[in-house]
Amino acid sequence: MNFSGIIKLGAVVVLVILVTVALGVYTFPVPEDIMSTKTADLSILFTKFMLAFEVLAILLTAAMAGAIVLAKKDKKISLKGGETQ
Amino acid sequence: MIPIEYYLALGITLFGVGLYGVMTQRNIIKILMCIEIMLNAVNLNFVAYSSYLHNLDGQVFAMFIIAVAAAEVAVGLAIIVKISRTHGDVDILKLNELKW
Repeated sequence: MNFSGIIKLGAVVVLVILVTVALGVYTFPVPEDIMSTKTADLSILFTKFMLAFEVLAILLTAAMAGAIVLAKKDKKISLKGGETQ
Repeated sequence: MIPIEYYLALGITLFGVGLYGVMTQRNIIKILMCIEIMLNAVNLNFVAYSSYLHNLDGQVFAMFIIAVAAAEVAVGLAIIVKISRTHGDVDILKLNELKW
């Protein structure tokens, strides 16, 4: 490991220690209203977050198509420019 | 019931591990895995606060993050396949064609 790697590791370790200490000092209050959430309450997925849900379906389809097109064997185009093979 | 501080401590630890990996690793696949670790740390925080506040929005957001991470890793792996075909390896220090 080179010198900058040690610095990065040290920065991350210091960050983790600082946040852990901050979490230990600050105590979270216990909420008063203890009520359980049910799986049926997840139906907000189809009411409150309906637009995001539909957009997510389009995103997943586009990502699938893009991944297939990217990973397809293509013998003409090279990322370095010019033709290969 | 486990206190929320433990979840948050685990979340920051996972995020630190992922951040360290992204900054130090040279293999693109390892960097992608570390990004996934960071996303899962965020998911853990979302779900912990969702349980703590008795509000299901956090769990729905975690599900959205999982789906977006799946799309991201699919496209990322396709790009890695392309890079390994054109360059021969996936060392990130050799991918400097777009560097100005």
